[in-house]
Amino acid sequence: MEPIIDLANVSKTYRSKGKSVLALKDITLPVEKGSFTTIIGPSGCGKSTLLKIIAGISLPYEGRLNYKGQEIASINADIGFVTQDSNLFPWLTLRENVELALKIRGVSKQQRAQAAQKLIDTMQLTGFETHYPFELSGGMQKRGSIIRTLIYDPDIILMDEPFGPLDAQTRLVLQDELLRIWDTNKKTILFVTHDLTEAIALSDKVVLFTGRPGMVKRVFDVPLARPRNVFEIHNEKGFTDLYHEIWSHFKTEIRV
Amino acid sequence: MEDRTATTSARTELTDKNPSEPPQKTFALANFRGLLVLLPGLCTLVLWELAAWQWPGVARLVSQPIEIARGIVDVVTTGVIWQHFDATIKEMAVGYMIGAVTGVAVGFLCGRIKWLGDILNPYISLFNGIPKVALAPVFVIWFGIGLMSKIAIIVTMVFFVVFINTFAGLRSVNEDYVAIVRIMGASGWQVVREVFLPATLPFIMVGLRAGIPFSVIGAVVGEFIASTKGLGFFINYNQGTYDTNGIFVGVTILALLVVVLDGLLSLVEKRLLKWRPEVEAKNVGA
Repeated sequence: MEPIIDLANVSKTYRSKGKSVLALKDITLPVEKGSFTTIIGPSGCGKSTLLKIIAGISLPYEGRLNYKGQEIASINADIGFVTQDSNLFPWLTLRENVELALKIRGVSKQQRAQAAQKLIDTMQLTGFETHYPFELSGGMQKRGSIIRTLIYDPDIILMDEPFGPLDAQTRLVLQDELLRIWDTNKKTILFVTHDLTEAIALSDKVVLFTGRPGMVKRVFDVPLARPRNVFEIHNEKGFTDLYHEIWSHFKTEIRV
Repeated sequence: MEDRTATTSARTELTDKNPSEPPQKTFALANFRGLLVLLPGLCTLVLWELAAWQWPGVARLVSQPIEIARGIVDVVTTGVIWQHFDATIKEMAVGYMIGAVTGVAVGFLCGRIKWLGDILNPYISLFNGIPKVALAPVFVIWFGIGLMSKIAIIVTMVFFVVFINTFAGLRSVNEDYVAIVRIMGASGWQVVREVFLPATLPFIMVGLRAGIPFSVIGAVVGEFIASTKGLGFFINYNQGTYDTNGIFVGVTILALLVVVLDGLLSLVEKRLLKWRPEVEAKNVGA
């Protein structure tokens, strides 16, 4: 089966202050439809840049990058993007934030209210529909930012360290919720994190990047059974072995 | 199964607490603070009045509160003030509107079209450096002694303050927001409506509120230089007849006008910007 996203020798060079900086080098990475892939690597390795390139907001790039067999040359509205900060619009209520994508797509008021309510309910945010973001906790804002992406039913969801700023408990709860959503709708998810436990717990495949310029160092399959329990997964037998194996490659990339 | 229960309870705990409930001041405390705010003003008025009774020279120099109040009632009941009030309000309304609309529009163009902003910005800084009041005589030459010359002064003053705030607002828009709506499929116009306009609104409001006293200054300066009516003319006329009280009547009316207009605009601002936590916090004190 043809991968939904297919990167072949993708490189990205930035120009800043007259110097060119190579951020990504020769990334070759097929992403299967319906898979959960995590990219992990030291900070500054270009993980986020890669997501921006795939979303079409950081053009141009060198190499070949296909989405469903088509070259990505502009912003791709079949893609959902969850940023590191929740980035809910502060001037919109939770419901208006969740509805925004449908409003942009010209969906009727009634239909989008219905769709938003359904997602708000599944994320246990019922009762907070008319609250503004400043009135919501970090975890609630994050839930809001995930469902405002889900509402337009994108084929792929790119997630850039979405749980980074949250506390450990909230992270676990949200990882669990994300996995349940993924289990039911089987979206393709490309997830960036610096947390190895999170990477293994969530994904089918862990892609390890080198330090700058970012290159694919190695790809690890995660053979752990699904559905997974993120609260207990670190005790599972296969987990520890895989953790140590990936870590032994990862730690050599972490140099200040 | 057991694990699911654990998850649900953890989640309930997380959502049950209502975060950042705005602190409610008690009614009594709010009233007390209101009194405290009035206190310096009342003390000044009383001392001023007493001083004027004690020393006649004080009343000659700065009049006295009761006489000013009587003067205001007088010009209002005799209708003397209306033609002046009417002229100034018209100049302000027209000048303010033109200045505000063009300020927002040019601010948007320069803020979002990068090359245009880069080219125009130094010139706008340069013109902003000129004291606009110094241009007033030129406007009188160009537009005569009627409403037009005052409107022109007000437009230049209001334009810059609104433009600069709008421009700063646009340059500070979170680029992530722009990327988010573009990925959602937003057209250029939708990006403006859904992101740039609401994100810039707090800045525009600052400019609009700052523009109100500027429009009063513009009108009065224009009327001082050459006019046949207006509150500035009224003040200037009273100066010519050494009527200190008349001057203070005019000044007080102008001050009240600014307070009322600013109050109205601040109500609009509170409604439009109710999504901002700072606005709520400010309400308590103000």
